[in-house]
Amino acid sequence: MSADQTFLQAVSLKRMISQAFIVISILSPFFFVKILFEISKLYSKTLKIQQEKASLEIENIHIEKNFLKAQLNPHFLFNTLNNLYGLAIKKDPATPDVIVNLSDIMSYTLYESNTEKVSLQKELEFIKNYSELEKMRYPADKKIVLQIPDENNLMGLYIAPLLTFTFIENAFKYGLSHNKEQFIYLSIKIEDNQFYFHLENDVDDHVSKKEFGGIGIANVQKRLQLLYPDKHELRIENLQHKFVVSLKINLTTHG
Amino acid sequence: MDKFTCIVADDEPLGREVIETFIKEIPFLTLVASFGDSVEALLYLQNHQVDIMFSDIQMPKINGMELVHALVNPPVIIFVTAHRDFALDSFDAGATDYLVKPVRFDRFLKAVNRAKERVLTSKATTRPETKPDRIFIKSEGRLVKIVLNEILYIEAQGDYLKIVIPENSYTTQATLKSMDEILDKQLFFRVQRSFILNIEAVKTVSGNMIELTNGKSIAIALNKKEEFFKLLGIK
Repeated sequence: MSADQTFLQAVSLKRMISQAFIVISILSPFFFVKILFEISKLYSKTLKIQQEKASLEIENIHIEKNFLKAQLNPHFLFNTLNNLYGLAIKKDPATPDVIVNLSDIMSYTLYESNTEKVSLQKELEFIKNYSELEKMRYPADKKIVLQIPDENNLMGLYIAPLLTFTFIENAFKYGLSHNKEQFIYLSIKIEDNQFYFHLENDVDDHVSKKEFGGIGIANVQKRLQLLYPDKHELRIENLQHKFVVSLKINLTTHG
Repeated sequence: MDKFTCIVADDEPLGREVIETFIKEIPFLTLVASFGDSVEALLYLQNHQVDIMFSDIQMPKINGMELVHALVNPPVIIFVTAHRDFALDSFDAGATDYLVKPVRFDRFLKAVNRAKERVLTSKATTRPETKPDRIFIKSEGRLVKIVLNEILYIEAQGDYLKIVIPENSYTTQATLKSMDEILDKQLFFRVQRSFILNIEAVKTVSGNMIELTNGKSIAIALNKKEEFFKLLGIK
């Protein structure tokens, strides 16, 4: 009895399979191609989205990483601490001012500059403090001219933080080293919501042009492109014995 | 008590002051010179014997390591730097100690004691002082390496020297006397008040005139002639 049943079952199953096989074999080229097509379409679509997402993420991480790296370098910090040490040993009355100065720029780079925009006043204070500390590292007779406006009349203006920092750092890193003429000339002006930045420094003949440009500057260009599209003008001139950076940013908040 | 001479090279004035202050605290050290420019330090060390040098590493023009490598007879070196990661390179360069800024006085003293030992042992072994085979001179704002034996002649021109080698000539601020001291006495001869020449470069001698291989003619002082001929092997 059970043997019959299994026999019948087996026959019907066999028939079903063979019929299905016939149907499939008629339709299969169609289906197969269609399914394949759909799969590949879907796949390429998700792949494209994934790729776009990944490249965006990479760029973001890149910018963020380089941005963070562009902040106070340890060599500067230890040298400044050493200068403070020197001032303290000889009980120089300038010591307290320098300590507060250092504290301010550390606070700015660690906490206050982590937002997309900061008040222009804070940024200018930072540039001034940093440049003063750098200036302290050089003999008093070096030609270092800083023209940074006092923090009046800047109400309501905001700027992306540390945009010009790379340039200033570079000026002190590579400048003041030429054999004949050594100078750093930094001038900032604010007029009609426009931020004008002009920086010139000498460059030693031995510093290769490549070394001077570097990732830092490419990064600033990227940030400017991202934050002030069509609202900035950056000109970098790598001349025989000097390096010139001019940057103009329209700081108008609306429109 | 024996005194040890030392110099300081650091481009940052305040950094230099700290080291100078510390040196003055140590009775057996005598600070003989202090430089903000590493090139000046190099030029000084080529002409002066000093026991210990305290040097920064990162300096414009030539850095501390390059400074040490450029010297044939470097003094005992103690690097003082804000960089935390040059220690290995420093010891490779033959430094006796490596101090990171800011330096505590007791750590500084320890380094000085090490340096003192090193100076004493090198003095005890009394190595015959090797003469340099090359020097660096400052010419038109650049540092130029001169291989001494390649010099054809040197001419004094006021406070300056004109150093002539086969393909080139350089002007630098120095005295013939200082050059005379470092040059090989078997190879170089001062033929008169303002000329030293390489006897290998001599082509012809006729009367009082010496013609060199590059065409230059130089007159020899009468009282120098005998000694000159002896050196050339002419009797």
